[in-house]
Amino acid sequence: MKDVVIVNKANPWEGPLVALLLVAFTGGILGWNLLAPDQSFSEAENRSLKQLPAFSVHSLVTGKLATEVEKYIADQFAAREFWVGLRSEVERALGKVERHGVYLGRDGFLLQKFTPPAPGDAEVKAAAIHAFADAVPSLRTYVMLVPTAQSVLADKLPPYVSGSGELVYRDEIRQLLDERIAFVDVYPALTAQRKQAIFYKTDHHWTTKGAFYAYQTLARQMGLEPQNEEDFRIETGSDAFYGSLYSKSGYRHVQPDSIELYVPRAAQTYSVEFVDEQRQSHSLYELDQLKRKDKYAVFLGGNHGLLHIRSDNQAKRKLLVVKDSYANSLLPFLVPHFAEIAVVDLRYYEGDVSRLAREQQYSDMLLLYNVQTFAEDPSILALAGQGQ
Amino acid sequence: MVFSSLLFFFYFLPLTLLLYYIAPARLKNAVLFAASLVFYAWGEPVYVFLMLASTAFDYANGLLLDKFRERRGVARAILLFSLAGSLGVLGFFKYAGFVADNLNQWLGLSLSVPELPLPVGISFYTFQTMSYIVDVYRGKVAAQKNMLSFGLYVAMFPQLVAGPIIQYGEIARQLVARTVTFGQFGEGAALLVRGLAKKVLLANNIGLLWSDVKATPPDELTTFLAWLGIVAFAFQIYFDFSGYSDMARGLGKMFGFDFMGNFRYPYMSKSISEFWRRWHISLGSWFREYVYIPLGGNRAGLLRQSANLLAVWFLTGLWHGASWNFVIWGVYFGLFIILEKWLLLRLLQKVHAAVGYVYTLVVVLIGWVFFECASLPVAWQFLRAMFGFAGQGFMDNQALYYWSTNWLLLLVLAICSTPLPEKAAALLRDRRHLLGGAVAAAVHIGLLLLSTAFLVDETYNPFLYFRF
Repeated sequence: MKDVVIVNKANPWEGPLVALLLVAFTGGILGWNLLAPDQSFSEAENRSLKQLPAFSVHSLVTGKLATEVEKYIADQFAAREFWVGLRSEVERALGKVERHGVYLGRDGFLLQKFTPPAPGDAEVKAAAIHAFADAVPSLRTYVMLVPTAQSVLADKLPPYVSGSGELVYRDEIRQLLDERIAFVDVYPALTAQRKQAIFYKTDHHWTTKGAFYAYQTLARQMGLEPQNEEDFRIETGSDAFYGSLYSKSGYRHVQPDSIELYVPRAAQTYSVEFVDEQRQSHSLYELDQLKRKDKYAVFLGGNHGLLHIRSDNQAKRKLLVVKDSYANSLLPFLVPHFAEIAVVDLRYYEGDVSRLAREQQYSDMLLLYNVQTFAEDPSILALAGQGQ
Repeated sequence: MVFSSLLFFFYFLPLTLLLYYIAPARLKNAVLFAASLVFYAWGEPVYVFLMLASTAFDYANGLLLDKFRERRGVARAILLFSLAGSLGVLGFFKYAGFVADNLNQWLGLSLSVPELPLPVGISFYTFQTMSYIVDVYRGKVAAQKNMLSFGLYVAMFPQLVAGPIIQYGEIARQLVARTVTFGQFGEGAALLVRGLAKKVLLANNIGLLWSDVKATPPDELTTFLAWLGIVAFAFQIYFDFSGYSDMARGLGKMFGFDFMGNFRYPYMSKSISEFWRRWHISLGSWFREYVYIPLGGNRAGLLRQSANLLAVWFLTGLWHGASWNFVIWGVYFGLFIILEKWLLLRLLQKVHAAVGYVYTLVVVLIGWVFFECASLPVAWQFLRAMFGFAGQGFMDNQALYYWSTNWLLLLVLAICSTPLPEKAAALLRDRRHLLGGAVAAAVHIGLLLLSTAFLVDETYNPFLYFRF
């Protein structure tokens, strides 16, 4: 082939124009970055932003300083939110449907991608559950692993994306659990209601409605009479909820969700003790959170290491819940059925759960996780008793 | 520091330009040298001293060669001393572990070598200092008496960490005196922006596809996905590397230097020999100038020439990394080039041009498998998948997913691998009035804005040359 020689008759305007624009743009951004005060938190991304790292000779020599300064620059970059949105728009125009582990699904759904854990993970986690059952044999143990939207609403996934991984992993766990453990399968109940809004479109959680259907399944399996939807007044807490998947993905074009609260028609009195925070409350809701970014924290005010819910009802049974944030919106439904409920989040709890269970003599135990947290979170292994 | 970063574009570059252009002429080299040390030390705060030491070493050797140029014996000794020093440093930091591993395996020894990280750019700057020493010895260039000018030749940040490998003679005069017009500066800025866009918008994005495919066990790949994956890598490495070279040339121009072009549409080649005249041109020229020709080149018959080519390609492979897969990759190309010299080129001239294009692309793509799969069994499995022996069929949903989310990007990449965009730009430039220039400038600023967006929300921005 002949060499490509393109006669380049320089346009006399091009060079100077590009030069001016480049200098003005980079210099302008530099000035902006230097003058504008640093932000500490990004509302849209829902995370703390990196601050200027402290200088030390050690961090300089190891190269740690360089890495941290570069993170700082990216986090504090002028008009950061604009750039994030621009990038997601370009990728969307190119036909990409996944960003930062979030799928851009059909009908405005964002769905969390499931990455199967390393082989052997199911065995280790099941063994931890068995070890706990061995340590506290008096407990009736229920395990509820909730498939997330990407399984239940698999038809919302982008074309050619398979949503089967979660169920495969969950069934692996299910097969491994022995007959002492009651496995609560909420997949059929959720699938049956899939036309309703049982998952948020912009958040990785289920909605209160989704949690309610799962509660009904759980109650029946526990031998309790579940409440019906008519027993509640459904109130809209917020209709401007941009959830975690919105934050994580950078897709800024999606519509917000609304958060519904199920307010019981019958009066209930109970107290909530937040052990780590040394605080009492009379509600499982923190309505102030509806004004903030992470509105899902309206349930329990977010995650806590340990809390006790004590009721003035006639119930005899006492329940221990070991859980992730999926439980936060389901717990209110369980209140009338138990005299006492202890709620442990292993990611924040530093005590020994089996000791807690023995000392407080719970009758039942519920392990409630969504499949993805269960697969990813190593703190579940603390059940086996090593503590943390 | 790397070019494709916010730190470089929005802090280092504007500040360096400012200092450079307000400095009086006699201080400009000093400013550029100091900035280059900061640039290098940012990621390599320790190895910057190694670079300075090897610069000082060959600066001194250059002076000695100059002093003893009449006494050939002494000059020869200095040359060998200098080359041994450079190759010794390169060998120690880059190849010691590899050599020890092989000796241990074959001879049953148990040598242990401290595992040091490879100093960034060492293969590039040692090759530059070696070319300088050889050229001074040959009398092709005069020794550089000014330490700062020589330091700048080695350390100049535009070409320091990923080339192009500049032979001293090419820029000897520019090191002493150079002028920059506003237009040249702008031309450089435009080249810089296009290089950035190649790296950040094109290479990084298609690189995600390859990193996904690479993470899949090769015996689970369908034929289609295996090809899609290796095509993605071919685009990634081309746009990454040529983007880096463009940025280097653009930056050079902004400071008044003229570096050689390093890539010339390599995927438009009709033979492997041609491919290597278009791919990483500065490395090819280096090996030609300092290995192939000294070995006798093509002057001693086809057989000797073939042996010389094999030696060159063995070394070219090894230059890319201290691992057998790179050696195989190099020798693989060497064999095709020998075959072409003996026979293939004559055959290719008799058939339709399309055959040449397809032949070259297939050979290059298979080559990339060896380049990217550090372990031979994995490379072999990947090739099996490419040729339908992995038993996974031709196509599955995973392959369809990657195709449906990447075909548009692949189309853009394919177009950008040809001279079409440059031809279109040339049409635009020919209109010598303001509108043509304004449109061209708007395109460039658009690319810069998009690249900025991709850097701010960065997920995947690898530096591919850390093994070179």
